Amino acid sequence: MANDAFSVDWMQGWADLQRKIWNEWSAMAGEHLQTNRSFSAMPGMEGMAQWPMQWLKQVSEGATTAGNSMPWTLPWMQPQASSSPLDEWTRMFGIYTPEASPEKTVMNGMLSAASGFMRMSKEIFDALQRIGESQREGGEWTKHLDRAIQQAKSFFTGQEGAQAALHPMAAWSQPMQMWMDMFKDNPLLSSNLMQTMASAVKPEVWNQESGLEWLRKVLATPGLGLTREKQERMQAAMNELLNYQKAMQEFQTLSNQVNLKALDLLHKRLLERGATNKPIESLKELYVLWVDCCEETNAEFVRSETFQQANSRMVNGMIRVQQYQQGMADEMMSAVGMPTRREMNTSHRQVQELKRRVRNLEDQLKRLQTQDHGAELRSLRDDLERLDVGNLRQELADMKSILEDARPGVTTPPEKASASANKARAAARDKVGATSDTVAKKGE
Amino acid sequence: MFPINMTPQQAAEELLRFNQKLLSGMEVLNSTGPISAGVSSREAVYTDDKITLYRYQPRVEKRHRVPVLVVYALVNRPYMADLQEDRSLIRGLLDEGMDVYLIDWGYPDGSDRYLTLDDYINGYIYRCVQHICEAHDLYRINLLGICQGGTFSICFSALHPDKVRNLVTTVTPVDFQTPDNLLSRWAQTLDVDLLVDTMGNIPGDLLNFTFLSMNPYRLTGQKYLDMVDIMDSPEKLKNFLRMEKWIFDSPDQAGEAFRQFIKDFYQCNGLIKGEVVIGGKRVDLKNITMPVFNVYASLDHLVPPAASKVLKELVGSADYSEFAFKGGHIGIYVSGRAQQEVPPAIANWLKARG
Repeated sequence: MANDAFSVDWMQGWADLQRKIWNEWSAMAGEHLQTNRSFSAMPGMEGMAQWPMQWLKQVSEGATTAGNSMPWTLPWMQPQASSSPLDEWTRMFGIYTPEASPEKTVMNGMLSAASGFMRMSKEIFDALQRIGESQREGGEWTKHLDRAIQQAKSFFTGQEGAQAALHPMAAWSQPMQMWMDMFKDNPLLSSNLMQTMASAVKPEVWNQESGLEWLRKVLATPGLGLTREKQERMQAAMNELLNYQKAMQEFQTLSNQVNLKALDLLHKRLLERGATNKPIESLKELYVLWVDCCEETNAEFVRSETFQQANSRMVNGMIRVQQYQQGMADEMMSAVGMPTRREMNTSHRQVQELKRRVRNLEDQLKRLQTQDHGAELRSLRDDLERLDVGNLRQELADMKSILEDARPGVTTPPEKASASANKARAAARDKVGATSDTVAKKGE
Repeated sequence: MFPINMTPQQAAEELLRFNQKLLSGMEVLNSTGPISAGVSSREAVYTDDKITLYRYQPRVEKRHRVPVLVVYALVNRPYMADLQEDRSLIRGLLDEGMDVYLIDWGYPDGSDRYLTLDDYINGYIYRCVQHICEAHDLYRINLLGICQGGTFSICFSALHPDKVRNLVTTVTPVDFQTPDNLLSRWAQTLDVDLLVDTMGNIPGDLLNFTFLSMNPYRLTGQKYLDMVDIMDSPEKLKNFLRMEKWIFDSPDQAGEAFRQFIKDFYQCNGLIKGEVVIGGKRVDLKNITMPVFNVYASLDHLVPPAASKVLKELVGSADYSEFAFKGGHIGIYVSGRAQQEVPPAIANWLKARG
């Protein structure tokens, strides 16, 4: 505790170190104010450079009036203050960092991680305070370690459990925040609609099982009259909202269990380090060990059927709610003569289909334009050559001659017909027959 | 013994040092300037809707005759293959004498919601291949697919085997339901019809949420705390920021293509069953008779090695080779060791096959 003789000596040193930090930050903030006119011109920012020192003053005054025996508590170690000095500091630096730049993302991530690290360090710091030098030698420290772990676990149980998923020591703090941000204002209009619907129900109804049961019965009441269809849609939307809320709670409960198991594992690992004479040498090393424990526990969890079911209930539940939101937004847009999402979808689909048809036609046209007609002509010429046109002409002439010979009224004495002419005619008849067969086969 | 060998004084001093680093790091962070990514010189040679086909400027005089087309995934941006000068698969291939083309899919918006896998594979990829073939007076080119782009390349090669001379796949899922595939487990219970019907295009942030959820503590906490240690080095910080930019530069996914990919590939595992149909034609992996080079990362947590290696049993090619890189899904492109191993392995394999 603070009255431990061990603590007294370094307490003053710690306060000095702290002042040194604030002085440096203060100087830097002042420099930025002078060099960055747009920042300093922002309303309410004029006095930002002085806030670290002001804060120190407030803390010391507060410590005196409240009888706080630990005036050296770091500002960011204040429990979840809505506007702690670190938050102000974060905001101050965030202002002049370009929006949506990687630096901005990184800075947010880094400050969030730093904040978590600081808060965790505070727990360790307090634990080290409680466990004096003398107690470290005996087995007494195990009780303190148990207590520290139990204290950390209390974040994820009891009344605070519902909010624990957003706690810095929760695995899901940033992803869960991302998840909520992703759907918070999307789409703009319908989100407000759902919020209005949700706020129409008293909080005590939302927060009690019997209240929810009652609400479900109310929502099951059939609609009547002119707005019957609209009533039914609203009831369905509210039911989906209830389902989603339940799924979110279940998911958070499971996430809290992961955090509890991770702390148990950390406890176990620390005991092992003690038993094997491999103690932790720094806060960062302890932080990394904690992260390892969390990831190990989380890896098991995310592979489980339980996680998959809970995750899909949450994701699918959120999307169902959004589906109803979009329906309502469409109704509103339609009422004010604006294009609805449904209409846009229809247009997009039709445009896409038309583009495909145009491309197909373009492809066909291109193929036709680039087709090799020369090859076709060559093929036809080959066919003609195979038909042996020259021979056909000769055969035709021979046939004419035969026909003329056979013409009525023209008689040629058989004795006058030369043997060679008869032979030629017979050959011509054979040839004609053979050529006809060839043509017939080609025709097949 | 007591497991924490630290006095409160030491703890306080460590916190002080941490804050000093944080403080000076902020100065460096705010003076880093714009973060650039994608370092190799290139020229846009063909555009089609939102996609752009780039040709990279050759870096050696004597080039390989057959160009290679890099087909990246729809998730994240393709500059990961050309992140920075000393970490670039593209540059490595150029240095090896390859003539490299790359398809940049762009950022789909609402008007792209009805793009299907048919549009991507038989449309965009086909037309890009055709463009390159005409430009080089070739009938076939080499295809190099990355992750989901590898799956697309496989489908393309099966549907148009006459257009692909050699197929290279890197960290490419083929069997989408291996027991160690965490993404696949999550995808099984996703109501993808509801998701696409409701949201249209799938927001890139939703995919980021999914990826972060795999290692939430490390990726949203420890990573940034570790960054404080490198903030005094502007160069290291820039490299960190470049990677950070790539991670969160996530285009939305065209809704219909996403629906088909999740249902046919993840939920039905249709690629290995020969049940995927694209543009009315069945994707039969036995049609892949050209040489295949399958590169996978042995520590890949997104596409486990088993998900890739199964390709060997399924293709109709008699010339199948594998290359295992000891690293992760991203490390295979950006780690220092990868630069020494991966591009030369791919280039040598291609050169050996003409």
